[in-house]
Amino acid sequence: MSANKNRYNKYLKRLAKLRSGDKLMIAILGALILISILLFAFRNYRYRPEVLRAEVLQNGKVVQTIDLQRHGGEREILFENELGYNTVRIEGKKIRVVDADCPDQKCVSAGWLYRPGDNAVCLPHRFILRIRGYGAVDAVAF
Amino acid sequence: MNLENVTRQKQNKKILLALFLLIALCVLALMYVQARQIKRVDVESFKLGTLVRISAWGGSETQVASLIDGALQEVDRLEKLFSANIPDSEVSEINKNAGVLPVRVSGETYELASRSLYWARQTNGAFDPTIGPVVALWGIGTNHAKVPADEEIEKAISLLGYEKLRFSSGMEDDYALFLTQKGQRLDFGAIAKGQVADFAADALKRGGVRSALIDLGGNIVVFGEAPRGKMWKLGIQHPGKPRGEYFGVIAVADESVVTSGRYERFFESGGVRYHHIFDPATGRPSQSDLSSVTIVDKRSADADALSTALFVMGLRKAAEFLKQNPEINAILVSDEGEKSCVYITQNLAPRFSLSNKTMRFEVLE
Repeated sequence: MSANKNRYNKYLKRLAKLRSGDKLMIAILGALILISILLFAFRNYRYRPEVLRAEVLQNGKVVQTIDLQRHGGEREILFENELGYNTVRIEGKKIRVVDADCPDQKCVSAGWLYRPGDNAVCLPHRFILRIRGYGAVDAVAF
Repeated sequence: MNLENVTRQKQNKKILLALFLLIALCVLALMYVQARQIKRVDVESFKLGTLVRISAWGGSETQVASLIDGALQEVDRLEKLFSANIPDSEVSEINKNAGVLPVRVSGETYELASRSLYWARQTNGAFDPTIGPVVALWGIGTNHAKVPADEEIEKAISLLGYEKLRFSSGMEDDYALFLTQKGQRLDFGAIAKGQVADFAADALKRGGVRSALIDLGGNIVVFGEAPRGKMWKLGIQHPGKPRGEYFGVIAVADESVVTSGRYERFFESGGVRYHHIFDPATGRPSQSDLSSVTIVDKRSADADALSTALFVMGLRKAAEFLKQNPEINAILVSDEGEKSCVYITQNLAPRFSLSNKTMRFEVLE
């Protein structure tokens, strides 16, 4: 204990012998190290997976968000507008469109969505169901 | 001794203050960097009969949002010029006046028609902007899609011919287009989305946007820095899987990626699936042995026209075409059910990674 204190005092004395320019250098170096650590820690900040959340858009506007992180169980939600309906089913941490009265049924055939960026689009109803966040690719050419 | 202590304390305090200020500065700089990165604006809108998505950053958030809005208005404006389905578009005017009168058009429509003629000649008619009568006859993608009678198809084929499209340009933006045969119809469906994407990208660049992704229903243009890393990573739709599932990823920068596939739009009749990519030679959905063609090009209009043309050509002719035009970058997927094969041009291969390991992979010589 006292040995530690002694060492600390010695350190302080040595520090006092340094000129102020040296101290500034130490301060700057310390700050630089700190910046590097912070930058490194925050580098992937944007892509850290957020809470798994689905959202439903009609006509480009978000009409509902659904928490898939906590919500277990099964349920269905009906979304209707003047163009038609889309029924969304939630099972545990997955979500999908199970039924719709659109002619192409592309939203239904998209299947289960469970990763950030997954989506099911119903062009005739201007309806989008998607998992928030960005997927492994920036976009898919089709 | 005491005095020395006091000065030392003072010095220590100064240093502490300097350190504190530096840390504060770092935190501020970091926050600035973060804020700048997060100012990525995503806008989605239903246009061109599809889902249009623009994602951009570089500049303040409100500025970027208003520039995206401007680009979307540009999309609307161009759709009203190029669409054969909008009754008073310039293209519809040309169609209505086929065999009657030349029609004055905007520089944009003229440019689109010139580019179309170029690719029609280059691909020996595999891409044909005068495919309109065939498209209208089948009505695929509309609620009156049907399989036409043979005589109807014969009649529609007799109306095709890109050499019957006449161009005239005078001074001072005076452009006119004329289809010389009555009943002819222009349909830029296989190139217009690409051209619109190019113009939308230009509009964003002009406004000062540094980086953007423009996705016009799977027809993609990117420019500037990617959100993570240098290159953008774009998936290529698997022809046999639900939309959004890709078989491979291509890394691109300042380029466009366009895919044409038989899965995109179709209707079924009598157990047969009829897709939307027509062969101008037969007047029917192309019997291509390819299930999709992807083109990577600087210009989206070119990528769009070429993806359709190479699809119609089929594997053998497309591979031949690519051999003669080594500057064209393509990914072809052959239609062999479970044993699909991916063919890729040499210069594109290093940038492509196959995610679907059950598919075969071959580099074109």
